Amino acid sequence: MSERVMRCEDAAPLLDGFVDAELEGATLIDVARHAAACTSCDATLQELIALHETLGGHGRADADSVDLSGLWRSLEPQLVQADARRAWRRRLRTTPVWASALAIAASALFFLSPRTAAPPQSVATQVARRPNQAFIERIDSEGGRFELRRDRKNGTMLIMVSATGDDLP
Amino acid sequence: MASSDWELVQRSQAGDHEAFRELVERYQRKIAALALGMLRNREDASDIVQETFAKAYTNLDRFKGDSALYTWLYRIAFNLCVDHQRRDSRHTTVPLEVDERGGSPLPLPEGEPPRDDPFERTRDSEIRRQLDEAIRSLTPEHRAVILLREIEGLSYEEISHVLQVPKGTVMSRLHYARRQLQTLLRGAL
Repeated sequence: MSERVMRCEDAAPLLDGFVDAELEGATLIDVARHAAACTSCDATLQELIALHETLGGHGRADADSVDLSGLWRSLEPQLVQADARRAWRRRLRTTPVWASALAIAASALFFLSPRTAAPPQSVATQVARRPNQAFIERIDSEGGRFELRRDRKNGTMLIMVSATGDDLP
Repeated sequence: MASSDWELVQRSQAGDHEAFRELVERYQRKIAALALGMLRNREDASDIVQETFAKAYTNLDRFKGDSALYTWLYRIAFNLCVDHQRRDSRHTTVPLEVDERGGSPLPLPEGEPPRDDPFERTRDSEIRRQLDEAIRSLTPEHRAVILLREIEGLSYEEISHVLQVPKGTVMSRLHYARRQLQTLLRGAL
């Protein structure tokens, strides 16, 4: 059986992996053999191990000093909120597509349709049909013609009329 | 018998807070170690632990179990730490060898007997100070790789999952970070 001979330049990039036990079996053995015979690589390995022990020991001790006693108390209300949001998202997901499309279309119609200042037609029509109205005054403006009439029940009303003087529907 | 992570995740996904609480208790210290290592500040670390679990719970539906839960939690915590550092560029940290809550000394590493010898205590404190400075001098990416490997004991594969980088990048970052620390801690180790 022939043994592979590893040189320092081959071993150096593998030393981290050796300490971390991340090398494959055969390579691991080659590095171990090399380090056993090489004082320089062996010293590097010892330094890596010392660093690992120092960092590990102090890091864990530091983490224990973080106060987590109130963690769950602060966390639970956030979970309740998250549950509510999740339920809402699920509800949205189960809403039929046609219903969503309909809602979007209705919103679009409402917001995109042109807005015209329509006269109070229903009032005008209603008042025009009443017999007991007294004409007070006619007003001509750029926007149209209006009449001021006196109604027994409804008091003084402003009514839009056509060019011929008829009430607009 | 203790439930597996995946069982607890599934129960948590269904809204079981007790199951999620079990996961929190299982991993809170690990997340705290990473956050404290990254931010070097206990209060910030505590906030990050809380944010991590809150975010994990909110996004639990996205966790499909194709990686270990703790690597997923680490990834959330790491990203939050990076965001925190970016957001708070005026970040002021309190050296960890002094307890900002009352000046009492930090606990010794687990398993070590209390040090009665004042010389030992001073030396321990000095190593801690140097270690703190050395870790703080690393970039967040190098710091994370060192913490995940040396303190949390994650494999290269797991670290690559957490940091979302190839395994080769993990190896080169780890090599670089260790050399940096060895240089900075020469004489202390």
